[in-house]
Amino acid sequence: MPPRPVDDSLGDDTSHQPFWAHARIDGTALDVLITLARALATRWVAQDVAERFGHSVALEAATVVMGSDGTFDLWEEPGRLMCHIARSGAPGGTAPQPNPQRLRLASRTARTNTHEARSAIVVERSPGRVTLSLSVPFE
Amino acid sequence: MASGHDRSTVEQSATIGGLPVRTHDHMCLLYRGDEQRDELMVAFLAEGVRAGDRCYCMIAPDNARRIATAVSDRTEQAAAGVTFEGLGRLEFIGPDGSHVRGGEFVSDRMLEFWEDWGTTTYERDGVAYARIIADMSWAKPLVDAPGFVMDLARYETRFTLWARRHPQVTGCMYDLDRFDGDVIVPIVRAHPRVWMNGVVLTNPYFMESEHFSAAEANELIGDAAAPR
Repeated sequence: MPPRPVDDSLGDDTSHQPFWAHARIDGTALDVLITLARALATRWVAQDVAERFGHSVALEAATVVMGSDGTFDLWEEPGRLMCHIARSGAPGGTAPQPNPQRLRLASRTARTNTHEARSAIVVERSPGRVTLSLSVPFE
Repeated sequence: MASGHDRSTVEQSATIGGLPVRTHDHMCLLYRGDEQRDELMVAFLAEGVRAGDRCYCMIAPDNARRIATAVSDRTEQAAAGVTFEGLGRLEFIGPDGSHVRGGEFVSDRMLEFWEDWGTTTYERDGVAYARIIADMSWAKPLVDAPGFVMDLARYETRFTLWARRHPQVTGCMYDLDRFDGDVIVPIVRAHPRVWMNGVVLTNPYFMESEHFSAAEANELIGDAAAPR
């Protein structure tokens, strides 16, 4: 099913406030990550791609935090949705921080169905942490 | 009826879904299905009744009786082994008398509703502490109405400002089986904290909402920084 088209006249959210969700997680609530990642992704890509993104997030989170706990961050950037999961005490710095200069993804031209084929999930793993990105239509 | 004791300065004043919450908190609760909604709602309200709080439950009338019975059962069970100085009061209101009074939702009108409710509850009745919990399922039929989701997000954002000025905790409940990402994402953005199946999501961009003036944002930032 294609994403529902954005139309200001239908009253969809046109906020300029960026989306960012941060949580402390362990291996017991992966359904939350699936739900949230999928909910964000369905605004921009087809349902099946959003489903894959949600399950990829949960799978990577389960691997990273297995037997431990960690942090989960999900946010929008121009052209992609980002998810970062880090195990507590993982080497290599801190979790991503909100950047006041970061632009919100929203764009009137950002959700044309002809660009759906560009959607791709990229997974970057490093010790104790993983970053997933889902490219979304953006011009 | 006054609840009889002042807890407005107590840092942790309640729990929602097992999570400690503080006075003035405005939480979003994302749940799945009526069973989970009822359990979260009843636990929150029963805890408040036992504590002597004024409890305000916003839910469709056909569900109110079931919630009232469950709260009563749980309160009586708890009271059987504990002596309470005084139980709180539980009130119900349906969407027709609140969010969609007059047949439509208008954020400014609903915020005026809360101003009036605050005057009645805190000033006239002298209530020291209140709990508000709202099932937002009434919103489902309106999701495709022009401007509705944006106005709902504005309402939720500005409710936080109102809640900061009164001794209370509030939970707004959205059913993940009813609402999709086009509602959930703006709603997550409109709350400072979100509960979802035991996980608490925080939103570092909450203060940047365009629904706050600079002065209002500073007021919230000052409150958040102050020890509570």
